[in-house]
Amino acid sequence: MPDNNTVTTGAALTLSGVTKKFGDAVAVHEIDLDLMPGEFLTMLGPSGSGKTTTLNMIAGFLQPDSGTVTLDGREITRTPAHARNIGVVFQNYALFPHLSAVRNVAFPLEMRGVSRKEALRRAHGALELVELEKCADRRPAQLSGGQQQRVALARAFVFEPGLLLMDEPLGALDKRLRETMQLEIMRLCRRVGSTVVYVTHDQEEALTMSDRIAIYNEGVIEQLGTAEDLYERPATTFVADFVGDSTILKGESQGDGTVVGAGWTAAGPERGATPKGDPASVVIRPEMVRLSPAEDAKSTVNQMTGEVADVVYLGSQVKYIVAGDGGDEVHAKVARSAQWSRFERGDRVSATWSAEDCVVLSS
Amino acid sequence: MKKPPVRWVALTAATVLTACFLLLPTLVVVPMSFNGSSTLGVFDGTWTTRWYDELLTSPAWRTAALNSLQVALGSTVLSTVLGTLAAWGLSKLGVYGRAIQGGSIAPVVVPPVILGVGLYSVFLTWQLNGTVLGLILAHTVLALPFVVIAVGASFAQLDPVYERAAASLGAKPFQTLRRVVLPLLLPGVVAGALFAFVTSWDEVVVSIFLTDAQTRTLPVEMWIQVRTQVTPTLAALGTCLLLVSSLALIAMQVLRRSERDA
Repeated sequence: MPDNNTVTTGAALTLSGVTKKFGDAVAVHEIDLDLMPGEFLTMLGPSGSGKTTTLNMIAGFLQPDSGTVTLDGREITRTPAHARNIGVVFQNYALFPHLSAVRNVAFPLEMRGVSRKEALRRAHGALELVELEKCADRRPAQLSGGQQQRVALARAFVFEPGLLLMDEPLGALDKRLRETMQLEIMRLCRRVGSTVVYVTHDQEEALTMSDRIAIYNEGVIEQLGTAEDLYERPATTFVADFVGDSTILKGESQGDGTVVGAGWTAAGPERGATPKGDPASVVIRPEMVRLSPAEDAKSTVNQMTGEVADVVYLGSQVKYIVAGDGGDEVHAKVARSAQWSRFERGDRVSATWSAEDCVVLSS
Repeated sequence: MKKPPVRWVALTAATVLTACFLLLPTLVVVPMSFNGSSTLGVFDGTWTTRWYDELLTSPAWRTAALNSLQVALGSTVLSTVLGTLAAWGLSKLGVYGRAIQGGSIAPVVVPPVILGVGLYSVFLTWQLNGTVLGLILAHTVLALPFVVIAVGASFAQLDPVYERAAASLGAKPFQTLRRVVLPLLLPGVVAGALFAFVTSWDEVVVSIFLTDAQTRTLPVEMWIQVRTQVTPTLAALGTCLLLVSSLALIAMQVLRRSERDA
């Protein structure tokens, strides 16, 4: 029997062409995913975008209408949930209310034919790992939200599944506890070595925890990549808008990576070809925008002149909302430092950014 | 001291009167069972417990009580098992399940006389008339809807996430039922079982069709005795039955309260 300190090998997970409809509504459309063993993948997207439906199909709670799910080379599309050996952490924990914490954790072991005594021993070990050994004999109702969360985690990894699924596991916790738990989940996942699929609608959580992130929108994955990919090279305006703070300027493509809008011209790396004359968007991250007094403006490309419409104090940074003369708005986040020039509302400024710090997208 | 308002007095009076109207006809058997006169309902001013002695020593009553107990326990077990499984299955069928559940309460709506005639003619061919097994089957039909309703209501309140969680942890469907679903549904199952027991324990119409001299249940024996000899033994028995039914009712209330508090 392996001990709690053994590192499980994560399983490889592949989804190909997975589609699920509820009546006429397409919940998930032709999803393809490939997870390396031990990878931490987050599905991020607004509610109703299909991420939980995908998770439920991986867990076996739902059957896809078409497509296949493969775990470690074995096709499990039609395998019932109880035969999949996948750990699941539910949004509201789903701890069995009639069993104590340690009996909850021992449950999956007993279902696998481990003797009661051995199951309890290993369950105590798992609770120790989540630092809840002292609460082992309490019922779920006698535990706080954070403690229930830890018990649910212990129960999901105690049987050493190759794959762990988590459906917004921190949604019910307050912000501070959520941040502690994020680190704890990452530490645990690394320790047990499982592959993890994590569902959330909190982009900060996704950026903090994941190896890769799949951005869901209306049943399809808009972009799959590392946090850096998504943030610095968004593939669509939806991704740019959903991940992090961004300014999206709409204009007309000149066909060579240059976009002309109302009172501004921008040029940067293109994601996908944008033929001349087509509508195009320019995505600029606010912390990449520099402000200077309007009269100092030199360049005419990647520059917008306007008036400071609002100043938002964020502690270490100050956010300026600049209303361009052409009617578009650009946001600038400026770090406060020993030498910085502060602008006031109504000041005439020139906002500039480098070509490599913006992305040109079609539409 | 302030005089209580008229409305309050009127309300109390109405409540007490209604309670008396509902309860007195039932409760009157209690004094009647201790009445010294040997004719039921005629008071001669003396008190005795000899009707209870008679009840306990008479072989006819003892046989009837034994029959009743066998039939009630048998049909309780059978209808609770079948009803719980049915409710489990129906809870998985969504709209169809609710439709079938609606149909499954038919035995409550169908007049017992019709059921009695039907069962009698079927049991003639099956040679089940006058057998305890036949009675158990008949009472199971009558009790099943109560179990399906009671357990079905518990299922409706059961969060389906527990079954998913159990499955994800490796529990096969039957293990999930036994280790997770049933413990969570226990109050509903026990309530259904109590309903089933009381249904069988009090049943007279269908039983009259299906019993013979050896398999009379208590209510049937009572009905026959009332028509031949009117002794206060009946009142003594009535008091005993009242006690059993009241206990079942109280148990159900306690259960419902504990379920609500949980």
